[in-house]
Amino acid sequence: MKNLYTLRVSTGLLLGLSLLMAFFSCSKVEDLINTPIYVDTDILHNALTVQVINADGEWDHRPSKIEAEIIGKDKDKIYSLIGERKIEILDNHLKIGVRKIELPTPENPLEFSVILKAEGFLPTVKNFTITTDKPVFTFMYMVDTDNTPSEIAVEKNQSITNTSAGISSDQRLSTNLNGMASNQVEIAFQEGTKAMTSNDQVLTGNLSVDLFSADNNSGVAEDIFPGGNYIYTNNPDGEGKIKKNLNPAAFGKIDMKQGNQMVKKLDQPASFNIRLNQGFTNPSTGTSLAEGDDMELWGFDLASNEWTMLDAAKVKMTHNGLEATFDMTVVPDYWAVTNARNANGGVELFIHSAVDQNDPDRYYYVVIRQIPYPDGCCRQTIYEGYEKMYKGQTFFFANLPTEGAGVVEVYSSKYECNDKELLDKVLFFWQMRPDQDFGDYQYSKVNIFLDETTINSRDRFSITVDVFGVCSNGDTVLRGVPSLDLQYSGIYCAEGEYELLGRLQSGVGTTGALKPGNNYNFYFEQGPVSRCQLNFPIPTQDTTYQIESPVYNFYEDVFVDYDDVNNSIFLQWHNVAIPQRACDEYRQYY
Amino acid sequence: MVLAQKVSILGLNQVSIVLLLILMLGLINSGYSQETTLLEKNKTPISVGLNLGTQSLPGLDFTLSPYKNLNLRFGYGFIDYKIRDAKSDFGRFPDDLMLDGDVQMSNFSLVLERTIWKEWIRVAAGFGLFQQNRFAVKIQLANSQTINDLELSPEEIGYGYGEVKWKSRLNPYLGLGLGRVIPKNKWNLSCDLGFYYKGSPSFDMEATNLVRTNKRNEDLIEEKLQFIKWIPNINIRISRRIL
Repeated sequence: MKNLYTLRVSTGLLLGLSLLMAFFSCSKVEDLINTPIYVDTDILHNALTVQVINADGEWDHRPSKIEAEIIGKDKDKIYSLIGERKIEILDNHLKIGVRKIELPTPENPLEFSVILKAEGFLPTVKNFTITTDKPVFTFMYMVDTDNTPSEIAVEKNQSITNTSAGISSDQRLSTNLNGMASNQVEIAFQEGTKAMTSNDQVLTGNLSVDLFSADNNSGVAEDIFPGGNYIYTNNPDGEGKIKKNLNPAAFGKIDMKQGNQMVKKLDQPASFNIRLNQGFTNPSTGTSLAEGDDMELWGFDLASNEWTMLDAAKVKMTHNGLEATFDMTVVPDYWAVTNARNANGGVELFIHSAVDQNDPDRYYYVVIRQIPYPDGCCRQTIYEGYEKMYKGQTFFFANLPTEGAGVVEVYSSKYECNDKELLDKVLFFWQMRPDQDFGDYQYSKVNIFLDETTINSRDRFSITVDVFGVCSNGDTVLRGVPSLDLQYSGIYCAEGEYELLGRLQSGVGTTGALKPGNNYNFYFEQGPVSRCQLNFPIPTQDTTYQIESPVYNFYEDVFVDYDDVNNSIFLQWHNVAIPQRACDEYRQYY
Repeated sequence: MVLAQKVSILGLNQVSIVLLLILMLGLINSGYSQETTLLEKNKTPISVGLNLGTQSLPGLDFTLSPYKNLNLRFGYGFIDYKIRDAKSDFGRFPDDLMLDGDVQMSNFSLVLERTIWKEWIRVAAGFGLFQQNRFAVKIQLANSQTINDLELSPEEIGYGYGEVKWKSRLNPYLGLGLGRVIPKNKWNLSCDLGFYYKGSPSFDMEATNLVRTNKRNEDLIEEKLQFIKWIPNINIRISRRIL
């Protein structure tokens, strides 16, 4: 009986305990399963940001309604930052996203080209070879056809009488290249030459011709050359395309049309004569151009982003100086005169500076150019963009000639209004060496020692921002998408003359570019919306910012702690209650 | 007290140890006060058992009965169970999830049992010394997802990985046994129902790619997992009497 009692008590206790645990487990397991799941909206890596501006450098003259087209080998890897194939340009910024699993490296670069078109501007194209997983911020320049920079010669609305029998008489079109009569291009059409479209349709009405031309002696010409420092051409030995460096003595655009129909072919060759700049270094010889040198006329087809050699000729010395004359049976979108080389060299620049990679963000405006030099050749912009120039940073530039000379120029800013100042200028040379190859590319490795006085992180005031918001349903956390570029300018700059301030990665970033007591304009884009904050003061003591957006019915005070001991501000702003409308719009795009 | 201190070094909650000791001593004392008599040494019944259950896949034990109605069981249980690529929407998610799971537990146990009804029902108390002590699960989406024009593979979206561990290696056990632990003849079948007190679990989490921010759920999930301080031991045992 006693055993039975013990049994009942023990069994009851154990059963009760089990039931209690089972009960708790069910509700607790349910609670566990209902833990909110965060899906980061930072889907793509912002591999490239391109600011599109006028070739004259004036922001107020910038093109609008720009259409961008991505072509090239890796075009299928390119998306907008919200994962769309069509990439819209917002406030003249083209932002390109790639999957994070496809981060480019020197061994596996991302290669594509961007074609830009805008009403009233010459179409242009730039080839990109991205070799880094760091975001690149660079520029593309467009030429306003009605207000060209002084470095570009223009002859517009030249008329050619044309009938069903062809051009009615011998016609000569000419333009100088740099305002000097000694450098000139002349295109001569024979009587009876028939002008045709790309579909071989013969045009029978009068033709209108616009010529835009430039020689090799200006930065503007470097900026607008179609393709950039390397171009694509058909591989004469097989399928596919190869890359070449054109480094032209001169180039230009021919718009020859009847109404809206463009002339693309001629049934008999026109004579293309150019008086060449004697200061031009022949790319193939590395010496100044001389009589008897070989030169080539190249033509560019914008739609395919392909240059083709149209003709070759010997340079002759005439009473006008050095000249070359070519036959031209097609009318290309752009032409160039040069002596092309294969673009199978490259250089790796290894930066030595007083800036550490983890120092607060402070981006310098950096231009890296190929420069004429007795052992090298030619003048061409290799890279232009914003960089931290930290110790150990590397730049890989592929698709260069096998040897050459260059210069790294580091500026405090791009725009004069932000106190632009040349901080350092370092020459370098490269030469292909077989023992320094990275996959398909041959790189020279070059050390770049930057001035530790002008380029350093000393006395930087550090401002750290850590911000994220939460939607009212509590299950969505909003952060900067993907890595959010913040831009800034001084308050006396023209609208849009923003420079790269820093990058928020998942809502966190630190800048050392701002000075307490100064006011700045700020700009950033998120999805299809851009925002700016004008005349914003950087505090010199503890303060309260009032963040407000009447559109979203959003008002909030943010308290800022000024740490004068550590020369820093740490702005931690978490769990910001995002209005539902803003969340809905956010979800629509992300 | 000395024992409690030594044990607590292994991470066991002191209060639970004291409670368990009181319970065990109570059982033993009650056994003595009833009809427990010391068996002749050469007649101490002994059995060996093979068991399968929540703490043993498989487990082995060695049981002797030094007193009538009182058994002492030494056991070893081992589980190394892996699930790979189990696909399900678990009845609640809009898309299938792919699940990998690992359960790795092994323990030496020492359990004192008191038969309370005709040797068929036993109450048990003891300890388990756990060498391995973890559950882990990895979850990721089973199928690609499309966001605008971008198709994201499950690998790109990433995975969440969580691992539950207990710091305490020496864990008290309370349970109930059904069936004879030492067969009357040669073979028999019995089962055990009980719980190990494991104490507070810790939870480590890893998350990658687009779900990486779930790392911040680590503390929250650990808090929610505190209900599994007790883990069940349910097993079926086949045993053979050897003495």
